Amino acid sequence: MNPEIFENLRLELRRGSLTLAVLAHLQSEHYGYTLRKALTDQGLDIDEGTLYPLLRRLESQGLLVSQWREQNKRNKRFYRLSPDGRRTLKQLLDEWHGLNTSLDRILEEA
Amino acid sequence: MELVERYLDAVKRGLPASMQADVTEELSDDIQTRIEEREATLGHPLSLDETGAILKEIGHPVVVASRYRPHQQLIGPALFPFYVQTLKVVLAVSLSLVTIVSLVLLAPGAGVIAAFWRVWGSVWATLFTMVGIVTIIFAAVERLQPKDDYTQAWDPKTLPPVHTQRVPRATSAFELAFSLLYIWCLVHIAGIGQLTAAATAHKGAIPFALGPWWHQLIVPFIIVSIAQVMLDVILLARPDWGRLRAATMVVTHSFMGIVVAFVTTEPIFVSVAPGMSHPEAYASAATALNATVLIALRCFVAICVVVVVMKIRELIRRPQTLTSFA
Repeated sequence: MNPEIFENLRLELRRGSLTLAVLAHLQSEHYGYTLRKALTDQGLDIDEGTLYPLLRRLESQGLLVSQWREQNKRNKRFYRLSPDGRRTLKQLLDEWHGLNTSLDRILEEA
Repeated sequence: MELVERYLDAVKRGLPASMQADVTEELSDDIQTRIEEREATLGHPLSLDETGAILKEIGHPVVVASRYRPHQQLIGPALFPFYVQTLKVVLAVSLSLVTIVSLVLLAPGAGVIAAFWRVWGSVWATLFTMVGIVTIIFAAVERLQPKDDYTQAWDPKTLPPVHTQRVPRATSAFELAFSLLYIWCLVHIAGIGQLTAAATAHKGAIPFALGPWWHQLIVPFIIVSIAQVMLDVILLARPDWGRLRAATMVVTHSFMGIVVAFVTTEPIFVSVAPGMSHPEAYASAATALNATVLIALRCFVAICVVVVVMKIRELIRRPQTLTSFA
């Protein structure tokens, strides 16, 4: 199989999952760097060029709230889920579990 | 550090003013943290190349900045098929119009090569302009129009029937070539003015002069031919718009039928040329010519009536509105 095709499909598959992973992680407060490290440590690599714009978008959609605070003598922007974000995360997780169940059924039948 | 500052400045230049300070501060903190962590791992301050490698991992400043923008695409996937379709039709119509105008404006005595380059130049300029205009309009729609409007506001019942209305592209191509040739002939070869001029120039050699109607017929004929060219070009792009062909034929044939019927009310199409030494010798021939042309034109009017009736029936039979071509 053409590796480029696989890479495109893999990226498509990951795109939605990354948003879910970011929302799930931000149930507790993180700033960008620690969030990226936490995701990487758990097997979800995400580069800065993707993560920070994603955080901005989620914040502009009202799913995250952020706050600038000083830590280690540097200003850092801390993010966490908003009340809307919590509700949305729950709905997304239900959807995710539903998708997984459907996919498992399909794979079992195949 | 200067390298990091240059990088951040490059990112900043690509950001909207409202988020420049915020984004660069956050990105700066991320980069500094990464550098400190790498230095701790390596046990020495990072070289220029090592710092550059971190910045390369983050990405090109233009790409990084562009990801913060709300619009990542000039024309999104939902609108793109409509954009391509519109471009096809607009380019086809523009191409035909430029060709017609160029043919009409072509000086009869101009060299073929010079004429070719003149037409070619105007075609490209027009096509690029059209692509630009259509793209700007669609980019504006992409930003201003709620996405659901154009993807939801359609009625499946307005889709054209399968194949029944398709006009074969070969037919359209043939008609297009014929119409272009016809226009060129009308203007440059068989132009009534030129025939009249020829008759005048060879006084005595051509015993007949053309009647006044010929001069008035040429304009309607050219108008109808131009309409036909535009129709053929559209049908080449959208062969399933058969109803457009039927509707256009109703209009053009009605128009031509009325014009020609009006002409036949005063059937003096040719007369003996003034200045002929024995006009009486040609009078009966002129009468016979006028009678022949009159019969031909009446047949033409009858054909127009038949075509109009047939096409109207064709349009009525199909329970669609004429606004449903798209």
